[in-house]
Amino acid sequence: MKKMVVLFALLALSFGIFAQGKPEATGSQQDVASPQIVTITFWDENAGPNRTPYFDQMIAEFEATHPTIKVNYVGLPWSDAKSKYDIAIQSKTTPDVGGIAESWLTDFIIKGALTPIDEYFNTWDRKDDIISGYIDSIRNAAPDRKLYAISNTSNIPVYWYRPDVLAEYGLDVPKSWNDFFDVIVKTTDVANNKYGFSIRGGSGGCMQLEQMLYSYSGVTEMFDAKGNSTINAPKHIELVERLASIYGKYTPESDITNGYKEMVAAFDTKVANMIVHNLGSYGEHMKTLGAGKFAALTKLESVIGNNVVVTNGSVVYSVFNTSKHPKEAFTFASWLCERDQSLFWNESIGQLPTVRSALDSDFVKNAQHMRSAAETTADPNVIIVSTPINIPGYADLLNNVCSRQWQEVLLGNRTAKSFLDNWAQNMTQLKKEYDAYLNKK
Amino acid sequence: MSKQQWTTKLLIALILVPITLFVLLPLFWAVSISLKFEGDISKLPITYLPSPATIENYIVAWYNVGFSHYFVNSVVISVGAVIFVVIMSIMTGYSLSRYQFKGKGIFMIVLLATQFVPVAVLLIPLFNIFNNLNLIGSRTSIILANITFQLPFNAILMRGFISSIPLELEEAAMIDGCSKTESIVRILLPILKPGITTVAAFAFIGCWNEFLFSFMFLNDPKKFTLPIGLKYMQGQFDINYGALAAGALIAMSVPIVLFGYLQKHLVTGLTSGAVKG
Amino acid sequence: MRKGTIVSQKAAYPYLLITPAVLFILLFLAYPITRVFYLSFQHYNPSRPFMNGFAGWANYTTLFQQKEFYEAVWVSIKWVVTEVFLQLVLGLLVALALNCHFKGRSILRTIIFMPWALSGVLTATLWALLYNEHMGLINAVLRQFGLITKNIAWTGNLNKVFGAVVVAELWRGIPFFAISLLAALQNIPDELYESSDIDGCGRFKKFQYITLPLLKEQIVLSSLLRFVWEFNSVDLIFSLTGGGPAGKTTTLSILIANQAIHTNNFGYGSAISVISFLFLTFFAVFYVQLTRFGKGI
Repeated sequence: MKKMVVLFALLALSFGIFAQGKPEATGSQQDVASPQIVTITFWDENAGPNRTPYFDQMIAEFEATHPTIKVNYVGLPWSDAKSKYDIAIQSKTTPDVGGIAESWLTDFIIKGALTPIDEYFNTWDRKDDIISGYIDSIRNAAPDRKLYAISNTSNIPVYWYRPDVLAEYGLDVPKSWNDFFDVIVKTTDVANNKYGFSIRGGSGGCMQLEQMLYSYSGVTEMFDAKGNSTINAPKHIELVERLASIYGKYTPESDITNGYKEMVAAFDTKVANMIVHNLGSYGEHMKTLGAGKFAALTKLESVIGNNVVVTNGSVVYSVFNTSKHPKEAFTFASWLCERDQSLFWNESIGQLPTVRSALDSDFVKNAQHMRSAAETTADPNVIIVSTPINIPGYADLLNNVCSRQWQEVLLGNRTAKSFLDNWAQNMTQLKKEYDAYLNKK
Repeated sequence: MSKQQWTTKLLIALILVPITLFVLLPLFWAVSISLKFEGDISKLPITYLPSPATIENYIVAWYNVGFSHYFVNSVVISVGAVIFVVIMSIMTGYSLSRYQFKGKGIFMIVLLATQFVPVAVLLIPLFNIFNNLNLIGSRTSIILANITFQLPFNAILMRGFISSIPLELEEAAMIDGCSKTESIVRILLPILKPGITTVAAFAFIGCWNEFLFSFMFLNDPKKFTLPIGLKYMQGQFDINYGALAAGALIAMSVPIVLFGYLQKHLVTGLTSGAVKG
Repeated sequence: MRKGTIVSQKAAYPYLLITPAVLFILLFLAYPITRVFYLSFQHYNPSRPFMNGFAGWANYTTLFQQKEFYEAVWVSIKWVVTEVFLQLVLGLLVALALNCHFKGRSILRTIIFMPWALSGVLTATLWALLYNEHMGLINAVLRQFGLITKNIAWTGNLNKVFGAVVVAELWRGIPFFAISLLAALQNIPDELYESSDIDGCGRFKKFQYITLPLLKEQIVLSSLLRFVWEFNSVDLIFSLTGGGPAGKTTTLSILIANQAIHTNNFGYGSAISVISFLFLTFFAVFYVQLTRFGKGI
């Protein structure tokens, strides 16, 4: 018996050490058996049991229609995908093509990890089907204004609410921020554990707060003419104060450490009547609340009467400069952005396609959240602005400085003004440093 | 039964009953959630037991996430590393426990100091070392990294176990004509079984749950390990509590079964009459 | 009975035994650890390459000006002392109980061991589902028994959050002490207890004069290891509270994780690492002195 155990252990060990042969390169490799076939590696930045099967399906179709290209799919769990990319970049072991969050784009460009795809893009026959605003925003992320990615999906902030609760209280769907607060107060019933709203006070909370601030104030520029951050505008201070004043009274106490999943749980358990997130959480609400029991509001009139929608980017596909087959890598990335794939993908994950020809599809027209998002983004009166995700150090600032101070404000240990003044001062400094670098280039 | 025996039993129960409940409560909740339909988990009022129950989550965890081959990889990597950790811990622990030698103090401090730096800040330079050795992408790199990080801790622990065994036993064996190595293998190791079991269990679990190196050093999904599979169930927008609970229970079942088998070696201590003196 | 060390005549033997460990440390840890010290004197953030360069003491002076830093030091100390003390006491009690002969003890040994088999992230996910204000098991049970009428925000309330995180970590930490002390208890020869029976020793006397002295080395070592381990632990706190609310559960290690992993701020993150390294070194030396342990060191 003992000998068996030892034998097994040694076998397992030798298997572990010797059986794997040489380490393989992460990047592209030539298929030895059939030299004309090119294998490219694709990293999916948000893999999981729900999403990976869609990619499997699309890749199978891609390989069927492009017999000379094989795609090696590597799924990365979202929580650690950025770290994996960071390490791959510094060791030059990046894949041929990968999905990345738009907020990482500038970071990767500055690190010199991506290949500009302007050449390929300009000769791509479907390029005009992509809504130009998305291409512009990707170009804006690059210091040299070249194109380093393309996207097939977009996302905007959503005020998720429950129509049945509004009906129960005889309230209309809010149109302005004042209505919004009105609904929060009126639908709160603490004795029965019902709250009007749930604030995201924990991880990711400041990004969401920032979107709410600009939507509330109607300010459309992140920096004023002198390059100073507008995050501490008087109306922003006002909103932070209003949110702090409802925290704990009209929102659950645990909101202060709410990350995404805790906030969603507050909504899906029907404890909180409204939350602010984006299209991405549609699937979660559908799973627990069911169709018709929740709805999306995609715009709210600001206090000065305009409508501002604040995006912080979506997922884009980039070709990495370690790739030996950038052309094939682009072929795959651009194929994902064609109408059919864009439609299939967005229908699966519940987000908005970026191709013009997909916007009149049944899926966009029939689903309430899609219709609302498509209408809002197409509305000429809506001003779409982006948070300063392309300034290096932005994520650092929000995670390490702002989020803690935001919690202090909610607890009443810091004034809204001090919180936003600090944020503005830091943001201005980051922009000045980045501008100085751009000017030197 | 005597009064003394009764109070002993009472004391044991007073300690073990609450602690067992404390240990089992979260696990009960994990089992319950893993058997619920995803939509029921956050329905209020919450139900203690799943109704209706489903094994769907286990199927998702096992197949969708590719647990079947992550499992094999985790076993290979963990077993491979544990064997080295145990052998090297005994060697190092024995040396530290039984000898006075120059530099021992410094070595002991260095061993401890390797634990003073969070692994996260060591990741990049370590990656580059393995990259230079051309080992990135191989399971060998994960085994080596696991040995590196499990060894110091377990060697110190092993020193403690060896120190608590009287030296006379080995000396007696040597007087009877055994060599040093013989006396270690034939006399010390059998008595050290509880310590070896403990170290093996701790090292195994350390390797079994190791995520960072496996995820960062491996690039081929066929070589990924269980902790990577578990991370898939905590996506950006989808939270699959049911499948996550199922996956966690599947993952922890291996160390538990292994420990259930090994734990009998925890009590093969000194037999009566081993020490006269 | 004599416990002791051999003053070796064959000088090479002890060195031979530690050679593999030394090789591993030199090959895989020497450079990465040295680099942490080097980077702490650099502005180093790959996301902002235009700001990189020699920093001198800048990272340290920035750190020492932050009130967050001092708060984190305090939280770290509170965290480690609470955890190690409670885990040791409870773990020792469990070990002593499990060391007695009774029916079903091998099953109980396995049950008590179980939490140790779960990783930090999964432990946190599990406890998050227990603590959740709305869908958590704990509030549901308390409500059922009429103990509360308003749900408790276990991880959001300033007065509850620290205790909540401590309990979750205890759940996973008690088995460590229970198992390693149980293993050490096995090496205490029965004769010692038998002879004390003849001398008419009571239960507590036996514990005090026989068990404790023989367990001392293992207790000291396990506590020291556990101290370092808890000091560096990040997973559980990070997943449960993210270090909040308002820094209430932010330890030095959470600060490091935020800087080094989540935002690429390696220079500053390294400076915090160096401080925590020095802190642990001083602690280890002090602890060893205090327990007058291992005169050989």
